[in-house]
Amino acid sequence: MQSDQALIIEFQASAHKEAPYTILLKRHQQKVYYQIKRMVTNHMDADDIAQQVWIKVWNKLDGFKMESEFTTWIFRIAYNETINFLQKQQKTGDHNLSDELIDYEQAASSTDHPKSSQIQITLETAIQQLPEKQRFVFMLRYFEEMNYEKIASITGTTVGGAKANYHQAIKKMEEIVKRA
Amino acid sequence: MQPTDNDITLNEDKAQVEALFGKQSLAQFEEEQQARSDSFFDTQAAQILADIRKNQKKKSKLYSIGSFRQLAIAASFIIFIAATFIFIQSKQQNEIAKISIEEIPSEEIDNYLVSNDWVNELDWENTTLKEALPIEALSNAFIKDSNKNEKN
Repeated sequence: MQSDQALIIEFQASAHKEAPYTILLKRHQQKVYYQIKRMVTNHMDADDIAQQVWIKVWNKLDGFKMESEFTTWIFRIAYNETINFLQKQQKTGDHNLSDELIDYEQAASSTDHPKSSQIQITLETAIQQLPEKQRFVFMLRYFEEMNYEKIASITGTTVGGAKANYHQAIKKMEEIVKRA
Repeated sequence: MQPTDNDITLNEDKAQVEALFGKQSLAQFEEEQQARSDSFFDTQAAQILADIRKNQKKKSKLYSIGSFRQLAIAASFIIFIAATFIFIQSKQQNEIAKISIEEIPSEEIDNYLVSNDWVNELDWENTTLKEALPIEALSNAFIKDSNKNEKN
């Protein structure tokens, strides 16, 4: 199996870019999509953002200098696109927290595992109430099990800043659980 | 294999959240995020590649318009420079034409004549010829008049 680095070199050197790009896309597509989905809750929005991310990857991959891992780079693009999307939504007032909770309930009722307990609803409420950056850091740390160095590179902060974001997120969720 | 520092802190970080909501709730949350059909990612990949091809075509079209635009800008710039040059040239010629002989200092005329002797001579000859003509005409008229007087 070709490494990401070898595929990027092939992409940058060749006129036939589609073959190495498609391998990279299929290799990382799911992880990128799930991270976006955790942030926006709605599948259609997640799909749109993911497509934007991959189009950006195509456009910018020629200039990628491999100073960081490809996954760090692609998650950084995903982070920027997701934050931009959420901020635009807030500005236009298209979406609010109650909408997101309704989305969650609809999603839960459509799965094979309906929400069984109050704690599940509390968890989703708590996650949605976190500031965007803290939420992104929390998802990367808990679900993607990334180290803080990588999280810091993705979110454009220091390692200390990333750690602080994670612990602030836990603290906020703790407060929400106490209130519930 | 021994756990790294990152593994230890990761487990500690995860344990804090699991203590709040339980491992099962978090697992269920993640399951909901991943609730997509098997074909979803194939369709998404095909859609992304189709979008990229579409954008590439658009880009190449834009490039041809762009190059035409660049040519148009270059052509108008050259036309502008040429028009300015012609305008300045004609203005200078007009200014030269406007200078009358009275405005030229006599020193300049003298210098010109000294450095262009042949012109001086040529002018002299012309002047002599021109001035000789009226004298001849006058002398003819004088002869005619004197002949008339003699007859009378």
